[in-house]
Amino acid sequence: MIKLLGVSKYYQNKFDKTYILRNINLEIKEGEFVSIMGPSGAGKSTLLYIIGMLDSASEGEYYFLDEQVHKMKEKRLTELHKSHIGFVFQQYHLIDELTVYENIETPLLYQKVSGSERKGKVAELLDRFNMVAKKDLFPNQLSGGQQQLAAIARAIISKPKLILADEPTGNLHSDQGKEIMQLLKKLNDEGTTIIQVTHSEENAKYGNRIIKLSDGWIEKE
Amino acid sequence: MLKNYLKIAFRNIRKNKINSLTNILSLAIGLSATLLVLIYVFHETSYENGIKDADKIYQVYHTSKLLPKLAKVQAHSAEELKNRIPEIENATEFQSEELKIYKGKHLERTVNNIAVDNSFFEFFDIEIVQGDKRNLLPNLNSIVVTEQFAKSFFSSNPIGQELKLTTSEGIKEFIVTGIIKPIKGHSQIKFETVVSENIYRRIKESNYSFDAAMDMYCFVKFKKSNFSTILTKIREFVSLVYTLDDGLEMGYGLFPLKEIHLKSDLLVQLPGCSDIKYIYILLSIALLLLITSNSNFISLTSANFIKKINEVGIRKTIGADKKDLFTQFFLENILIIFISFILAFVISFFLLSTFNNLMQIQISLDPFTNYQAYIITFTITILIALISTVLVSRIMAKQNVSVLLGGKIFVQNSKSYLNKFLVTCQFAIAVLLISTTIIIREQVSFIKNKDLGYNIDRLIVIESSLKSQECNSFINEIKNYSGIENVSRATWFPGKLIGHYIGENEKKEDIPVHCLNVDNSFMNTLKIKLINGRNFNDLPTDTNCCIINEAYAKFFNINNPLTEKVFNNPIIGIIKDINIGSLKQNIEPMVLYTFSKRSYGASFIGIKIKPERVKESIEFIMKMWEEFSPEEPMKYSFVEDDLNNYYTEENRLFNAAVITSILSLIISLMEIFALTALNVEKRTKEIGIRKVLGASVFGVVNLFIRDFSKWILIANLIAWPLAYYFMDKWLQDFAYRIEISWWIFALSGGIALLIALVTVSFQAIKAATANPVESLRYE
Ligand SMILES: Nc1ncnc2c1ncn2[C@@H]1O[C@H](COP(=O)(O)OP(=O)(O)OP(=O)(O)O)[C@@H](O)[C@H]1O
Ligand SMILES: [Mg+2]
Repeated sequence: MIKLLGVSKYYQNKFDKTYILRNINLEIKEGEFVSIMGPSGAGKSTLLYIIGMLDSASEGEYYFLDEQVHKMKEKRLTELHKSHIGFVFQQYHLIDELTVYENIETPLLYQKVSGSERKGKVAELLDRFNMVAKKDLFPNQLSGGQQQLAAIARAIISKPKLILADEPTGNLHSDQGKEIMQLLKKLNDEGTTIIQVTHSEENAKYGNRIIKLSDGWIEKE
Repeated sequence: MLKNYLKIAFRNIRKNKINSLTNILSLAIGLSATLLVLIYVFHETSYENGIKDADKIYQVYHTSKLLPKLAKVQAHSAEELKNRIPEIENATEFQSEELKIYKGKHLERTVNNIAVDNSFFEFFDIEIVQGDKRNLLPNLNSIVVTEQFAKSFFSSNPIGQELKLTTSEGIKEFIVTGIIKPIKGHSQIKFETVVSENIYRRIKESNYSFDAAMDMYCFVKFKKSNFSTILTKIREFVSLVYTLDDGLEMGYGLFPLKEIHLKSDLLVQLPGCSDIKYIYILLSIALLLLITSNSNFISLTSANFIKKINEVGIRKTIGADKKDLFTQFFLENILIIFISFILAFVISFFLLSTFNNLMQIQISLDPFTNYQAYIITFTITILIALISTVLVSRIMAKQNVSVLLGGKIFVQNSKSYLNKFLVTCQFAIAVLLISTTIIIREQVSFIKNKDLGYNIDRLIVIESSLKSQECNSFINEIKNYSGIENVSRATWFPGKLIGHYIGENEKKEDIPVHCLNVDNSFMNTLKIKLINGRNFNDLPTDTNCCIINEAYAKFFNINNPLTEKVFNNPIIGIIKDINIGSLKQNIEPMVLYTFSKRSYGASFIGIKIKPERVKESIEFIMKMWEEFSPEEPMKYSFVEDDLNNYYTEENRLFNAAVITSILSLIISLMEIFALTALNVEKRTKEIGIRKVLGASVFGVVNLFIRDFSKWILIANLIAWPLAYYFMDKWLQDFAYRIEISWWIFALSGGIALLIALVTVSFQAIKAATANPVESLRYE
């Protein structure tokens, strides 16, 4: 599903280039649950953004579902991104001005899904995550775990093939964290490919593969 | 989607109350000014648009070396011109006069009447509602009225009814023979009733001649031929008919009908003319306010946007493309602008009567008649929304999501430069306007306090239509009244027009010489100083003598005036120079004669009243006047008011400048108020840390002030030379003017700086005195 060939990322300074990712070669198959680990500043988030098409590689080739992402026009990129990829962040990143319901609904708006269909899909997810009672609350009225639940609901509302989670439990108590990890595991069981960044060995165990990143290099698996 | 965007926009407005409110309010002020001014401009430039072929119609005016250009010409000119010049398709003339309707002895109302020739109705394409189209005024006693007049005056169908009007030739009875509509749209040619010019005996019986009184407005309509050939032909015609006398060159000129309202410089022009200058002034005012409020809008929305970078990042990750984001920001801006637009309408509604008073005009806010003004204002609002959206979107597009999600560092720097630039512009405009206001004020008060060479305290002037003999006996009746200090009769008093001829000095230069007839007490009444010789006495020889002013002696290089003559009239006295007109005019030569000489213009009676007796003395004078002239009510004015009339324009300008400066200052202050609020919010944590580290309140406040003061100082440096340049130009109109001194600039800069500092400090102190622990926990 995902194939990175010699991908590098650098930032051009006045005099030299600062490499953040170096010569990344990586293949991830559909249905995998991959954990990326490594010290702070290793480039984990950067790698995730590149895979999620929100950032572009400076060098190398990137194939997503056999399409050449590195040669793609911006329009096709957002197209691919919004229909196949869901993001989950450590800081949840819900929109403060929108209610839980509206937050979950927004990706469908960008995909021009009709009103009645949207209603059905959001209701179904709220029900599944036991958040019906919270649907009209604003993010700052929720606990961290609830916010992350809502964020995951938003990430999967359009049934993406791939979920990218950047330290999804980083801000949560261990109980809440566990709950979120179990949810991700379940989504993976239902067929969604998941790539998560994590610092915790325990969380990494939910996945079936670990990639270690340090200073921009992939260490052996 | 739209609903989602609007929802967010509304919630944003509610969340950032200060920001949104200042934004909406300042924009509303700018838009309101734009709307009013545009309505005004369209109103003023639409004059005569309702007249068919208005482009081909010209007013015939009278020129001569002796007199200024006159808008009125001799009777029968229209007919004469039409007959002699084939290029003229049609011509018409009319006399405009305010007539009175009496009910018994009591004046019921005045009527704006015109006396026209046969071509008038056809020439101006007047719509006839009722009456014989081919012969609307069949008899000498026929009268035609407008629909509106008919409605307000007659209770039943006016046709055939009688109307009694008091004309300059006495009371006349008319029978209504038609009802017409006024000229469509706005026009300088206004009338309520129309009669035939032949009701005036002198016109009916006279032929075209240059000796006739000039009291007709005359218009010609061209066939296709060009302007200059026709003008030459008219000039040729004039020189044929007119026998030159005293070397005075007289002639005709042509003035385009459509330009009369704004550009006419003719004397005794149709009433109600304006000046194109006001359009320029108002347009620049609106432009300045629009720039200030818009830069306010742009800088506030983009400052606000910094707070939303995170949201942009989120939206990008969940599938928003550039177009989606652009639409969202555009809609949010449009929403604010739309609210401002509605508020602008409300503000305009409340300002309308003030504006109408100030500009002496009657405009309405009706969107249908003023659709152009609305469309332009609305287009401007859309443009503002577009510009600020594009500015914000461009910054957004450059950043990748990780930066957007993470923070604000990248955007902040370039952004706040834009803000500072805009703040600088706004304050430059504010300082420019404040110093302009002060300079205008200084000049106006300088004019009011300038020694004119005569005293006008408690001096009233009556316009007298009495015959010379009657006039003298009237003066004799009142001059011994205990409340009256002095009475004098003259053909000029301050504030009135003065006659002149063109003299020639040794160097063969043309010099206007002002002439007036005065009686013995003229100099006493006005307290004019005699510096040599004597005043008129009742000596029989005095009727041949004259008195001159210093300027006469100077301009014509006379060393021993008392031995010289003016046109064979021995000079018996020299007076100190006095200002005869507005202070835009320099002092020019002047000659005083007694009344038995040829008379120069209308006759006035000046009355100096003793202090504290003003009211009862005027009552007494009015009572006496009624005995002498029961038909004509007494027309009088205080000389002080008459002189003020010279400066109505300056007073208007001053009022406009005050209002604009205040508005522009308010808008600029709102901006720095909102910007400081944002700044304080962004830096709460920093302030907390600084305070924990021991910074004083002043130290923290200084943090915010330092920035703004620097930019306001720069704004001053931009504004001062501009203000100096423009106001020096303006002052050049005055023969007597103040010099622009540095304190004016220091003061206006100081005012702006002080008010700005107070505004900034108000919030900065609030932030600086807040509990630091709380602000740290807050982040
Ligand atoms: N726009 C940028 N310009 C320059 N350097 C950047 C930029 N974005 C990220 N970096 C640098 O790239 C490096 C990798 O960042 P990244 O966020 O990928 O690390 P990470 O492995 O996710 O770390 P953490 O575990 O702390 O989240 C960091 O050193 C960061 O400073
Ligand atoms: Mg990271």
